[in-house]
This record gives sequence, structure tokens and C-alpha cells, in this order.
Amino acid sequence: MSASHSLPKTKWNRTTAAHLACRTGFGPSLTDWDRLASLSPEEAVEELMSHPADNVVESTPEWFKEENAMLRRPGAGMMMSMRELPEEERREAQRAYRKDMSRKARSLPAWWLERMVTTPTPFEEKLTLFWHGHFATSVRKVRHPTPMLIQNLMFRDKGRGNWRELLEAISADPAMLVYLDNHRSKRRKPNENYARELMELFSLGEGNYTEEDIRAAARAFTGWTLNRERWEYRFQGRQHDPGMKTFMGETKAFTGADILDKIASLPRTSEYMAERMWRFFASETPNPEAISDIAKAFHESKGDLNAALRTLFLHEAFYEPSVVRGKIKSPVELTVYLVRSVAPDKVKGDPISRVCRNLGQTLFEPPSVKGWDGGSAWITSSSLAYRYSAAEKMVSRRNSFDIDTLLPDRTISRIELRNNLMDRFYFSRLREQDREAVDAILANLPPPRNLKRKDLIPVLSHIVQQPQYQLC
Amino acid sequence: MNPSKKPFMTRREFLRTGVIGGALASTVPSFLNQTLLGLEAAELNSALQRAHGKDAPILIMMQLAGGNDGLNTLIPLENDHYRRARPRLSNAEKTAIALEDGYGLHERLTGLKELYDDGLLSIVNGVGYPNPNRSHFRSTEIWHTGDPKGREGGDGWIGKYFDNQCQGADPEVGISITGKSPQAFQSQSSLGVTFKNPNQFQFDDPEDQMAGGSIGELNGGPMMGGSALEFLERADLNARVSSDHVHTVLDKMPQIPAFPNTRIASDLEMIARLIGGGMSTRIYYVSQGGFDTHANQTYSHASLMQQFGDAQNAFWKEMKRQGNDKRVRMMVFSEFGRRVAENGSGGTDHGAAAPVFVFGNGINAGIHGALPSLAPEDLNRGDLVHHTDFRSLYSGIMRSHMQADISAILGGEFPETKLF
Repeated sequence: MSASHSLPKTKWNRTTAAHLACRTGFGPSLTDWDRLASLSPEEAVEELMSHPADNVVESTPEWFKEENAMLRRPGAGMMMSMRELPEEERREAQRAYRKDMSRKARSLPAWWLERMVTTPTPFEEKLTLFWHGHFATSVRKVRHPTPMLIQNLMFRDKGRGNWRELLEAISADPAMLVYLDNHRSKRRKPNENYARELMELFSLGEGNYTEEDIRAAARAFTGWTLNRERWEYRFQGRQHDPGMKTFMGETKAFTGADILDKIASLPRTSEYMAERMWRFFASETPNPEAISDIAKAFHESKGDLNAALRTLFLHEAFYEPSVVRGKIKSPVELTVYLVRSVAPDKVKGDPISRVCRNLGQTLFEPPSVKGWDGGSAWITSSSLAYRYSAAEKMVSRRNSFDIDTLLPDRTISRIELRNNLMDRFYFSRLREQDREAVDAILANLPPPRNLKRKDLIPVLSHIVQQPQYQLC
Repeated sequence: MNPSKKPFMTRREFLRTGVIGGALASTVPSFLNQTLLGLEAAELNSALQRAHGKDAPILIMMQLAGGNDGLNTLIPLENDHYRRARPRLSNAEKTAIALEDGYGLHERLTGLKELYDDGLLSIVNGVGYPNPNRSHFRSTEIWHTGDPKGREGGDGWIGKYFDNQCQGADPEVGISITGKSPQAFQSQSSLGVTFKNPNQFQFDDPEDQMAGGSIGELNGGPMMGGSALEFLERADLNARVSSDHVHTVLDKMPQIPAFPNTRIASDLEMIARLIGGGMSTRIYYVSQGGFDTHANQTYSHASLMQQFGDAQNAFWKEMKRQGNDKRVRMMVFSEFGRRVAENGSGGTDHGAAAPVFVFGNGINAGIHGALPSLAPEDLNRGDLVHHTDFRSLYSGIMRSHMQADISAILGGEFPETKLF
């Protein structure tokens, strides 16, 4: 990026620091916000993007840890053979198996949401959420929770490395192989589903390939299948079509890997990914200049995802007034921000997961291969009403927050209390009328030194039931 | 402005007299001002609606999302090309319900057959658009915008109709029973409301809302967050206005036991209750999903057909019972049909032209237009070639049923079929 397009240090302050912390995670921690604002933009970006040291697998549900250990053992297979059982026992065993599957599948979103709320390195979660929406894969079709979590771990591992490697990892990903039917693709009759979405949604965008390219890529990916016993990629040579194919104007015996090489080398994939990153992390409204700078950094670094993201987060356009607090929170963001702000003693993923489901965002179950549309598409008449009522319940529930956490210093004035609460929930003091509305409620309450927990509930209810609270 | 037990009426009266007529008017942000003026006009409009009584025409648009396999819905009988292209899937022919002229309905469409026999159903063959796009998302955009270039993020054809011909209407002039707003509804005026579960579509604690932000927001001031905040504040107001109407109507229209227990049936039941309860809504939108049958489609497609046919059957019986079958029309489309040849996984890939279904009492019932040729040399990349542009169906049903000329919206005149 040319230096003239990166944010000058003079524009780095509490507002821009909060914005960066919101988009790379779920907002600054109140105790750390001032320090973040005192760094340089480069230092702050470096710090927020830095890799966590924790072992993700350690945090996963117990059932996954067991299966994961078992899958790694040589010769081990996951599925018990039910075929030899007598009819009735087999049906019973299948029922139990399905029940177990759905119990495990339900634990996935709760696990991830808990992690988002409690993690000290939220960028990993935000970036994984980006990839989950980009390479959307649903457990509803895959049906087995294990490969879904394997895919989630893969995003954490490869999500800020090299683009070509990530494309290969997703093309060989067990959940994806099932989700887009490539594991069934046959040499004689290739299935086009994966080849089409690879280009339309994952790497190039509609209009940047032909139907012939799709047919050629579908043939090249025949034979890419999986071992379902071990949930790992397997190449089945006798189903692979080794013949000559014409792809993007070039004719040779393309393999799946050749197709990925070709795609990753096209300038168009850099532009497409730059725009996808901009839309997710910055704004629904594309900024052509910023997108072109990100694409350039991506292309020149031969697909370094980290370099592209750093360019985005340091770009002056990323901090324009229309971008700051100009993004509509997804249901996951809405609830994770809220729970992080009220900071309960104990975080339970299940109730958060239910709210997200009702609002149309069930993690591991995107509605289609396009992922979630995001932005204003989240808002309908009823989703807005439900956002308000769910947020109200989340702040007014028993043990939803501890008053000593929200009000550690009792000697402050009502104005200071209002400012603290707005910082905590909005990371901004908003407009005068927004502050006045909070003041009007505080004016009818006892002064801060005499406030009881229940007194704060109407203030918090008000704060979270606003159009303003839908923005980040 | 003492909030009474009827928050909405109080609110509307407050907004009209207290804001527009009052001293605050000059400080109202422009978007709110327009919305509030719209509310005033809506008062006049709903008086008109009442004068229309139960005669105002209603259109329901329904999408079979994912790309319905038209060839296994309205099945060509005794067609060698069909049998050769689909060695496995052509089994559906053996059990098809015979209609006329060599067509059969999928065996699970018994519900549709009854409507067909009663003259409530017409099927248009070979509907599509030039240069068919085989992407779900782009093709859905094309059908929703009425623009074969399908601009991403463009306004919907119904949204443009709202903007051009429903000014001053209440936001519920369009209702979509879906989880997210269909692009067809996207408009400049933000008319049209979307909800899936009416229990989630209500606002609690009106007193708090009155005392809190909503009134405070009327003070103008700088717009932080720009257009996203404007959008949210408009959505907030529209939702409050329509939520009360919807609940008033649903409270007096109990659930209808005759509807099957499927998602699409309960969505159509919701529409039947809203129509029966006298909502002023002119256009409804609903969607049945799951039609993207790339693999092993025999069973899944049969189940989709069953749900589709049974839900339609229950819906039209209820319309007849209510005496609304003449004022309601429904058009059922899919973003594309599927490839003529089956694939190697017992499914079908994305195709092009497909049949469209139109329901209602008084339409020109029957099968219209020839099935496009299935001969390999007549196909476009393995797909059926359309002979009827979907926009001619849009403009036809809007002109004959809704008394609306939408040629400006569609950017031209399209030859109309003699369907409606």
C-alpha cells in the first residue's frame, strides 16, 4: 500500500482504536482501551492480529477430544459396523447413533460462542467466522459434527497463511467434500456442484469464468473424495478423469491442484478476496480505492492473507466516518458483544446459541453455500423486534451481570456513570439525544452510591434496545 | 401524549399531531419526516382500502428455492429423449398422475391435481430469460429484480412497484413470511415487512419506548454512523407501525387445523389468516426451500412435491371457504429448472427454463405453451431453452389482476400470455 493511503498517526485516537478493536474482535477491553490508543496504528494492528498461544483442541467439547484422539490412532475407524447386528438391534443402534450425532452437533455453536465471549485473542474467532461464512458448510447436510469441527480448526490453522494453500485445504476438506457433493463426483458423470461454487463464491465471483470452465474443473476434481471412517481426504484414482481439459483458455490434463494453481495466479482472485474482506471487516459499501490497495498487497505477496488483512486494517478508508459504527451486527456479534459487556461470572453458550438461531444465524449451519448475507439483510421488521426483546432478557435475567463489575467506583456522578455505560456498551458516546435519553432514565434513579443491581436493569434495557445498539 | 393501553394508535396519533403539527417539526430528521408524512397519507389510503372492502386484489409470489426439477414435476409422458437422458429419474413417469396432452404430474402432487381439476391451476411451460445464468444467487437476483442483468443489491421488482404505485401505503402493503427480506421487496421507500414467527414480531414495554430513545431521537443532530443508522431507525418505526396491525388481525383469525404440519403449509396458513382477517396487504411473498437436488433426488424431490401440493391444496380450500379465491392469485416460480440429463449421483445439476404455476379462481386454467424440445440438438448446454420471458408473466398478472402497469419498472413491454 502506498504510504499516503495508510492511516496517519495523527488520526489514531480512542475512536479509531475502538473501531479497530471492534472489527478485529468484539471491542476494546475497558481497562486496555487507553493503552491501545497510545500505540501507533501499526503497533495496534500487530498486537490485535497476533497469534494466540492457546491450544484450541483443549477447549473443544469432550466428545471431540476423544474422537480426535481416536482418529489419529493408526488403523482406527470411527463408525461401528451395524451391518452384522440383527434387524431390531441395528435399528436401535442407528437411532442411538443419530441421537448422539444431533446432540454433538448442537454442542458446536455453544462451544464456539463461549470461546468468542471468553477468548483473550478475539481476532482468531473473527477471522474464523469470516472463513466459515466464506467457505460456508452446513452440518445439516454434512450431518456429522466431527468433520465440521475439523474444518473449523483448519480455518484457524490456515486462515492467515497462503491463499493457494487454503484453497487446497478447503478443496480437500472432508466436510466440504460432502457438503458440495464432490465425494460423489464420478469420472463418467462429474458433479459440478463444487467446481461451480469454488469459482462463483470462493475465489473469482460470478461472471469471471465460463460454463465450460466449470465443466473442466468438475472433471479435474473427480477422484477427490474422503475416507469417512477417518474423516480424511482420499484420492480415488480410478474415479479421476485424467483427460485433456480446457480451463481458462489453457488446454492440458488439468488435475484439481492445477485448477487451484491457475485460480490462485489470477489477479481477479485477489480483487475478489479483497472485496470479500472489505465487506466483512469494513463495510457493506465497497470502497474501490481501498479494495484495489488490498488486492495489490495480496497479489504482490503471492496470496499472503495476513498481508492483505494488515493492509485493510491500516487503510485510511477503513477509518472513514461512514465505516466507523456503520456496520450492522450479525446475531453472533450482537450477542457476543452483549455478553462480553455485561461480563457475567459464568458464560453459558446454549442460551446465546438459541438467540442466534432465532435471529437466523446458527453457527455451523449457514443457510446456503453463500453463507450469511450480512449487513442490512439481518434486519427485518420482526428480527429487529426480537433483537430488542432478546437483548432485554439477556440483561435483566438473574445473574446476568454483577453490579460491582459495571460500577466499581461508587463515588462517580450520574454523568460519569452514563459515560462509563456508553463506553462499555457502545464504545462511543454517540449523539447528544442518545446521551440525553440515558440521562433521563438515570435522573429517576438513586445516585450511583445508592444504586442497587435492579436499579441498573432499566438503563441497560434501554441501552441494548436501540437502533444504535445494532451497530458496531 | 399519555401512553394508553393501545400503544400503536397512541403512538401514531402522537407522531402526527405532536410532531408533524407541532413545534418539533423543523428538527425532525428528513427520513423520519417523510415516514411520518407517509403515515398521514396512509390514513387516507386505508380509508380507500375500506371502501374497496373485500375486493382489493392480492398477489402471492412463491419461490421454490434451489431450482426445482421442472421435468420431474410436470413430467413429459412417452418422451424418448426424457427417458434416455434420465435412465434412473425417469422412473417418475411410471407413477405420474396423467393430465392432458401427454403430461403427468409427479405422483405426490395429488393436492395439485385436485386444484387442476377444479380449474384453479394453470401451468406455463418453458419460462426463463435470455442467456440463462446457472448460479442460484444471480438467477434469484434476476427473478427478484426483473432485470436479466441482475444487478447485485438492486431494488426488487415488487419494491419498485411499491415505490412507484403504493406511495403513502402502510409498510405492510407487502408482507414476506421468510427469515430474511426477499430482494424482490427491496425498495427506496422501505415499504414491506418481513417476519417468520409472529411471536417474535412484537415490541414489549411501550412505555419505556415512549419515554426512551424513540422520542429523544426526534431531535435531529449529527447522524453518526450515517446511512446504516438511518436505515435502522426507519426499520424501527416501520416495524412498530406494522407489528400492531399484524397482531390485531391474527388475534381474530385463529389457526386453521386443515393445514398440514409442514413449514411451507404453516407459512401459507399464516398468509390465509392475514388475508381472512382483512390485512390491507397487496403482495405476499413466501418461499419453500430444499430444491437444489444434486444427489439422490428421488426421495427428497418426492417429499418436496408432497409438501408443495398438500400446502397449496389446503390454502386454496381455505381461500374458497373465506370467499377470497377470486381476489387472490399466486404465482410459483423457481430460479431455474434442472439439467435435462441426470448426473452420476442420482441427482440433477443446475439448468435453465422451467414451468411456472399460477393459481386462482378465474384464471385461464390448464397447461400453456409447449414443453421446450428435449432433443439433444435443441438444448442449450444440456438445458431447456425458454420460449416465455418471466417478465411477461409479471407484467401480465400485474395488469390483469392488480390493475397495475409495470412496463416502466421492467424497462419495456413484454408480450402477454392469455393466462390471466
